[in-house]
Amino acid sequence: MDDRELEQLLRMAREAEELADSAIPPASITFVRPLWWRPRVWAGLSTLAAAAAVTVVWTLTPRTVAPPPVPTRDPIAAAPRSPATATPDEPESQPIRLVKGTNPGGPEQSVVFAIFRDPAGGCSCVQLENADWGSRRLADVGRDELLAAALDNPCTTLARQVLVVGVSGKPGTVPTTHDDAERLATRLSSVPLNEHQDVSLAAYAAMPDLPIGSTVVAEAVSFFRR
Amino acid sequence: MTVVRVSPSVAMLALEPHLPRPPHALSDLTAAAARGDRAAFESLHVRFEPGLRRMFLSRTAGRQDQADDLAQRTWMECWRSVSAGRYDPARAAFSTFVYAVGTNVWREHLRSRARAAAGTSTIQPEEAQGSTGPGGVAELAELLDDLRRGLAGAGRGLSDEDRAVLRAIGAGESDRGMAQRFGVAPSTMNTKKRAALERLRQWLASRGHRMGERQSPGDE
Repeated sequence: MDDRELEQLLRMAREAEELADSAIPPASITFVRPLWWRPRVWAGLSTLAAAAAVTVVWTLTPRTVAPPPVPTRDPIAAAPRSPATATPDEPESQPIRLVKGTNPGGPEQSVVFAIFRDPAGGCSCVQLENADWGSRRLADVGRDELLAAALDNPCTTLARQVLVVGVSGKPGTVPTTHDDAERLATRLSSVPLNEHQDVSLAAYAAMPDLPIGSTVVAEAVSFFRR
Repeated sequence: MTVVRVSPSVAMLALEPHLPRPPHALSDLTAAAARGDRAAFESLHVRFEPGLRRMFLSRTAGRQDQADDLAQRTWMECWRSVSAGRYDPARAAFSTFVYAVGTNVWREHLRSRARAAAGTSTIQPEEAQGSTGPGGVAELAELLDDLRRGLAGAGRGLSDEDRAVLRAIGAGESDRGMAQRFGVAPSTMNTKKRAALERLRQWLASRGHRMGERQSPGDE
């Protein structure tokens, strides 16, 4: 091999280096927007409103289940499709009240579901992870922490959107099985993840068997690749 | 429904059985792809596609249709090679392998263009010479990967100055430009360059790359 050929090899090595350097980092996830956050003041919830005012990124909305609703309708159909049809301001339509770390005492078990949707809107995979928040409760966990727990080891890197649902309650009462995860994903499959959709309500409605004292939080995030 | 247990605390339900959980790290993805894991391969495709397309855009003078076609052919060939077990992650980085396949696809493209007697200004005759088979692509990838490691400082035989000179050559710097950068006379720079290339030749030979027994880059 003469010098000219070696020089050509060096140029190729440099191009190969550039190709290696151009690789998109894994799980380059950026929060496009909180999908369901709407700045409204909920009656009787001044404490949380104040917290939300100083923490813009905080969009986690923990909900404690009131007396378990009797699912007379399809759970997904019961979920509000837009603020116009049902909002948390309508307690008669959604027997949910917003709380902040006020679950009754006793140990708490938490699980986090991550439902990954592909660009076509289909469900790519569902991940279920037991979460340990230490001495805190799910209601005290921040949005970023919840998402980090759900997305730490994603089952796909090709998802366009992810719906993260955290559920906590007394040990043994929260959904923890594969069937539970599959059921939740199926029930939420028709929920559009758009700006006006309150995914927490939909997630809550998708789990009608949760006992009193359970907490449900949900967050939808969109991915785009740089 | 395929149920895969990922860890004692993590369970994953793959709703699409043909897409098992892809790993996260590049090395894991590469290893999984080499085992024929399509999801892992697709993840690698997502990561390297923009760079590969950019490379072809540069080579085709901005022809997006050609760049897309060449990139797609490259990925198809990559998948064929990977699924046939012709890619060994221990021998070359995946990016280098993709580059080698892309280079082969580019040369085939140039040859077909030359055969059609429709030469363009972007075709360089020496580039269009020959194309290598699957084994040759793997060999080229291994050679380039060794070269990259050598330029990055791996092993002995190349001094820091040698590597700097060789990197400048790879970047396409002129002799005059290199002389200015290294602060020496052009004649001295030329001497340094020849010496660095000779040591590179010896270093590659010590790594098992027998230059006289293999095809030259232009002939691959």
